[in-house]
Amino acid sequence: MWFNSFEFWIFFALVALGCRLMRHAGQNRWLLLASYFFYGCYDWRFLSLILFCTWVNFIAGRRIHEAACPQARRRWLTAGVTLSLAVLGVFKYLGFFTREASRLLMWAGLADHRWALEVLLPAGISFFTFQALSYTMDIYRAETKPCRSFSDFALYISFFPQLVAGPIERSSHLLPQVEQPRPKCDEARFRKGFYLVLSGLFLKVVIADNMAWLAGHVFAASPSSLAGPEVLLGVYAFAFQIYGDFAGYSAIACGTACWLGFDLMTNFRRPYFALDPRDFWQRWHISLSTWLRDYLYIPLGGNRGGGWGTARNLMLTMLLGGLWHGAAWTFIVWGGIHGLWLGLHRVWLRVKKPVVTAEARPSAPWWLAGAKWFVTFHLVCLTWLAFRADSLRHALALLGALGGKWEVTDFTLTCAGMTFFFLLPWLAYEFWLERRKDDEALLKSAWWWRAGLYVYLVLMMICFPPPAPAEFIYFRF
Amino acid sequence: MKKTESLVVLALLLALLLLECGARMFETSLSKDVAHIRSLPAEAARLRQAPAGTLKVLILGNSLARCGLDRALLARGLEAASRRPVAVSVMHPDGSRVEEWRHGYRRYFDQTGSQPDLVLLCTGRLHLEDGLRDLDSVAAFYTSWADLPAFVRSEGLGFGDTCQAAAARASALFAHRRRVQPLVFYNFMPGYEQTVNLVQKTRNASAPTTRASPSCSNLASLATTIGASGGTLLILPVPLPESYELPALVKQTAVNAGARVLHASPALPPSRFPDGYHLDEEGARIWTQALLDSPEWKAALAGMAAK
Repeated sequence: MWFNSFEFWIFFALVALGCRLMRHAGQNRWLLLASYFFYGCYDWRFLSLILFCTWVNFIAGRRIHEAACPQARRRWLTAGVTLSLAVLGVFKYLGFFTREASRLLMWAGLADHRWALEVLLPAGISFFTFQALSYTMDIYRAETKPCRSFSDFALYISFFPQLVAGPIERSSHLLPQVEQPRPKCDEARFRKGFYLVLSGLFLKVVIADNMAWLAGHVFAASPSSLAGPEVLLGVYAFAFQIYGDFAGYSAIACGTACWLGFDLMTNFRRPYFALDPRDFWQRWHISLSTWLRDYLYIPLGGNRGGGWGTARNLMLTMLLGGLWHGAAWTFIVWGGIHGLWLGLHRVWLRVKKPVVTAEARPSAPWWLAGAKWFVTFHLVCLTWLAFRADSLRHALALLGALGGKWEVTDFTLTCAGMTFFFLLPWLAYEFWLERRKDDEALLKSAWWWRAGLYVYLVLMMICFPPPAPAEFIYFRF
Repeated sequence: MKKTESLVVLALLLALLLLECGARMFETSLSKDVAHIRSLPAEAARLRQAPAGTLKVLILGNSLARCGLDRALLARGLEAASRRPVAVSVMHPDGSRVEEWRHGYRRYFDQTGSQPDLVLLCTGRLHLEDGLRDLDSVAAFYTSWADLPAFVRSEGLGFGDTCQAAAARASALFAHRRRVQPLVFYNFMPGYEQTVNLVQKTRNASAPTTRASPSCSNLASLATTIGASGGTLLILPVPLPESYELPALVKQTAVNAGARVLHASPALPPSRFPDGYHLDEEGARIWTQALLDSPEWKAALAGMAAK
């Protein structure tokens, strides 16, 4: 049941209507039922998995809270985290690791053919596992109290707008909203939700899916048949495909949740306007990057271990962040490049001048900001090439094609034309938001500006659907 | 914050309403293809109102039929062969295939009592196998509200597809939405046509669209509907730059349903296909003449006369 389908919106209308008619406790049960139905529509067999993950972390959270001694608390934390990660490991990484192990055995002459234990990947397993883990770890750190009701906790794990592709919520943020009565959908909530839903649908249906059509060609064609500009524009197209796809999903999730009385965290904040890698990760998939920061980077030592220690922690965090996206070397390399880049950037900052806060930093002249943006955007695109390629060999072949013949082909012209046609108005709007430094600037402006933008978004969705619709990319993660 | 969101929603709805009205008012002047589809009731009326004793002929197909058959030559040939006056109607919307032909024939010709005596179904290699590609188009143009449940059942549509079909049936703006992008991009985007072909080629190569079990239920249904009113169905594979055979299942289904497949393949040089796909006027004349001269054609007409 995709967000951009008739089924979803009819389902959502029924859910919202039910919530409107019920009191708080009834609402929670109704939302839990709806969430399990929503997840069951992808594959009902994996409902047991989500139930298991919920049960493990619910019990672990309680036991950690009740435990008298630190050793017992640690034991329950280890049990909860290990069981949750074991499920994730089996369903997401078993195939990859057995395949790589068999390759190693073949190389050592201990096996004569490659094999792998492939398991069907449940939708959104990485998202709900990380959300569940954040609860257990927050209780261990005494940052949150254990949830008393199993059904409330089950709703926290399975809340359908953000169940399969995030944002990855924190117990300290979402759980209180589950446990306490929520505000009704008034004018302000409707306004915000409407904005998020329409912009999310536009990002998915118009930007992501049209860019997918172009990027799909570049990444499916033989690299030797591609000219340099074709590869470059194909990578640009993929950069906006993945942005539109994921930011669109997150916006729709936040919008629908807002209508139901929940406030989810902002997951994207105009990432392609970033001026350096740290800035990029403060804007891209914010719920994952802050999760990795709080539960991995800081426990590893963060930036407390000197230059090399910080670089090592950054690299480890980003490598695991890459692996979180999928079981393939391309994702690991993607994470590795980001880790390296973040590390180098940190070294550069230390060499150049002492670290100052963003507020204290003087604003750069426009040409310097432009140069920083240009370099950052293209380095991000370079990492997307590794992320999207079928294999490392494929990524290298595409890089080779990028440096190959530079000629203007029909595909180049169309790709450039479509990229401008679809992206320019939206990027101009994002630029305006960026200048205002306010995600909700449009909601505060005169109603006709919103009406104008919404008419544009809806017309583009109706009149410029993609030649071939594509599924949400992050459902596979 | 002022409470102005109702104005925003109202403005959005008003804009959509205006566009819906615009789509309904200007659809025929903006698209030749839509104009043709909207003329189908008139095409059907021509057959229905033909004087008694007239041989009523319907040419069914897509742009291959429109460009491939010389209608005047065909009418003369049929008149000469049957010794009866001939009324020819056409239904050849661009990009249509067996689903559109089946539902369109039923809606415009069968249900209105405009059944032809002879249906010439002009097809390419893969147009007769099942595989609904344009749900909106079938629902909007070839199905009435009354037929919609039957359409949903026959195609086995799920809940989402049923909603989509209903939306396409209800809204001209929604039904035409896939026509806007090609209209704009083919005319204004440099290299778009070549890019579409290139991307399609890459997609086909990387993910071949082979179906596990091809079926021809739409063809069978069309043939049964035509046969039930005493009509004769002739399937005419239109020449393409590369010679081809219809799939065996299509031939078998046609035979089972009492239809005939007529292969007339005159030697046509590539120059007769100026766009690489459709016949030019001279090519159409050559192929139509080859059809009229073929013994299978004569046998088919004789069989029809004997009915």
